[in-house]
Amino acid sequence: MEFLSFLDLSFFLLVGFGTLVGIIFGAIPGMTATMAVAVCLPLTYALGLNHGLALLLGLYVGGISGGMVPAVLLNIPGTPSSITTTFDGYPMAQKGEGEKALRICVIASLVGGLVSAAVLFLFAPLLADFSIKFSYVEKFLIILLALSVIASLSNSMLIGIFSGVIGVWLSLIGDYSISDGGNGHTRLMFDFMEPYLFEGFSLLPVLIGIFGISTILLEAEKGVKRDVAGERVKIGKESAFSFSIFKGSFTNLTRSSFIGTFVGMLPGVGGSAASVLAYTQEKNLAKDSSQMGKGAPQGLISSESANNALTGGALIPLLSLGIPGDSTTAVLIGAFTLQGIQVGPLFIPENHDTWYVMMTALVLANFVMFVLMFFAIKHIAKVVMVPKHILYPLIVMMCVVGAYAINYGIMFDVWTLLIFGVLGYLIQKIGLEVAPLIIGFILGSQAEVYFVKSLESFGTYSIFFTKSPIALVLWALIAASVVFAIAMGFKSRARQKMELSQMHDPSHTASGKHHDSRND
Amino acid sequence: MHRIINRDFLAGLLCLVIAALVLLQAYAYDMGTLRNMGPGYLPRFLGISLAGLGAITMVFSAKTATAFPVLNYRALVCITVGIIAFALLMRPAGLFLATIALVYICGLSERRFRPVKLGALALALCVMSYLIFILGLNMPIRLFPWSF
Repeated sequence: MEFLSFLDLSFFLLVGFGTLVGIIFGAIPGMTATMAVAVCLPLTYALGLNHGLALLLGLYVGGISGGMVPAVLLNIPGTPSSITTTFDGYPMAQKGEGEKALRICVIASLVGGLVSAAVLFLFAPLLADFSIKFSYVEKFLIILLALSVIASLSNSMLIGIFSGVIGVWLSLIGDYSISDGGNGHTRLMFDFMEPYLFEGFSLLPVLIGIFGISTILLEAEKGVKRDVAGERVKIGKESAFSFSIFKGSFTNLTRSSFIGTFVGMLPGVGGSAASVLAYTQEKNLAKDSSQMGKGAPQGLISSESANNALTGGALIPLLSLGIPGDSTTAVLIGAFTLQGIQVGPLFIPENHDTWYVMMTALVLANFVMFVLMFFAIKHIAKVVMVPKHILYPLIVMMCVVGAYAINYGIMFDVWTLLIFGVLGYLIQKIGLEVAPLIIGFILGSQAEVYFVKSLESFGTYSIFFTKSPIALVLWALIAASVVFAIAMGFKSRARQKMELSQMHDPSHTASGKHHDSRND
Repeated sequence: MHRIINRDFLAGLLCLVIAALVLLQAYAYDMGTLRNMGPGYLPRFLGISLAGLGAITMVFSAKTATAFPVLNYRALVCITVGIIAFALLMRPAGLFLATIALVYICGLSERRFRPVKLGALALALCVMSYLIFILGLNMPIRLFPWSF
């Protein structure tokens, strides 16, 4: 119980502060949990690992939860993971039951968060224990599997692969060190860049640039067109809320929480996938789903418990394999890098205290979120109206100063921030995806080391198939993800055709307006 | 025209260009052998596969055509220039002046220019970043042109 000594007053304050800021970020449309974590990443450098993680996990949980506020009140998901909350939340708000809807969401979120935290607590050490025996071959295949799953769950598999490969390349820039089996020379750059890029692009400014600056660039052009502040927020009167709404939702709550946790475990999948899946499952399996989409609490319950369950799920592969489960956990890797700690199978056994501190922070953040949102929802709802021109310079400045300060004042980090901010913006504009790119960037250099070392020791490609039964299982999973992507591709093409034919019918044009499937 | 040049086409083209650049660069590196790979092995391996995929995407792009992206050059340029100015000013002129420059240049990205409001915002941000980064986190950042 040594970790208890880390739980001082500042720990609780940081979790509380992180959760509150996270809720605010999540509640403002266009700002996501990922952005909140990226912007606050530099702050953790002075806090130390345990306190830094307390802040970041608070931001993560708060950010995912905050998305429900504009989803219910304005019909705009605050974060992509709250898309399905709009289906039932907004109709309820229009009936004057906004507050009731939000309270239902808050309770569902709490349950989802706690279920996934429990799964994380039980499952991550087991998985880490199992993967500790992996050789280079299996480690390489795990990364390959992660990348192929990410790619297959992107909008188009080819695009996902591109984005991932570009990320891997970006990670190869720099010197090819001898300890990795290289020759000590620099690669993939011109000679004049050598003084700056000898070690490659450093991870933190890349993360802050891609998730901070490029999101700002994307939002800045939207903000001109659609100003949310003009709309009036109706929260509704103190309508009768009682816990009896949850009577009979036990199956729904558990099912959605587990769906969320499981989807969170898949690498690179954004929150929208979890809540959409949970919502459609409830629609298919519930005895009475006729009211769903018209303001039924069951829709809110499935959507919000699933998206909060992501948090614990996404941390499982991160803490047991070193592979981030979504873009937010990819940014969390930055916090570990900042403290010089490598996440992987050895993380939990070697950093027992930190592991317990993280679990405590995660559970605590869920309760803080619950208390804040359940009792202060009226005040939180107002942040939806904060004008964006105040927020944007604030975030840009936090990003730039943070990137500058993070490695004790290296100006090249600011240029890295800018390069990746603009790059992130452009690639999203031409339809490439950020999540595979960043995960490719994070895992790329390790993948090369494992690839080279496995071939060095065995000298033939066939080793990737014959090393162990686990390798074969991993190959089967890779093949399954590819098949899944191709099948989904046909399905979505069919759906597109259907939508296209509906487009000519003017009565259907309003639907699907807000459902942009951007990655968070 | 827009049936040929669309998002997927651009993405495919971008991949081809990047693949070509990487391959060109990686050409100079030693391939090595399987047991003793040179530095050029993985870049070239990825380059060839990506070039192939890029070509496939471009071929199919006519089918999956989506609208050509519209860029908001104003926001892009203003925010980029703002960050550049901030980065250049921070060391010689200190955080205070750099922040003011950043806020004003970013403010230009909006249709309406509000000098007073931006000034107030810039001041608030200066105070905030002083509190967080210099007082709170003890980071080695110059505040005014004349400090340390």
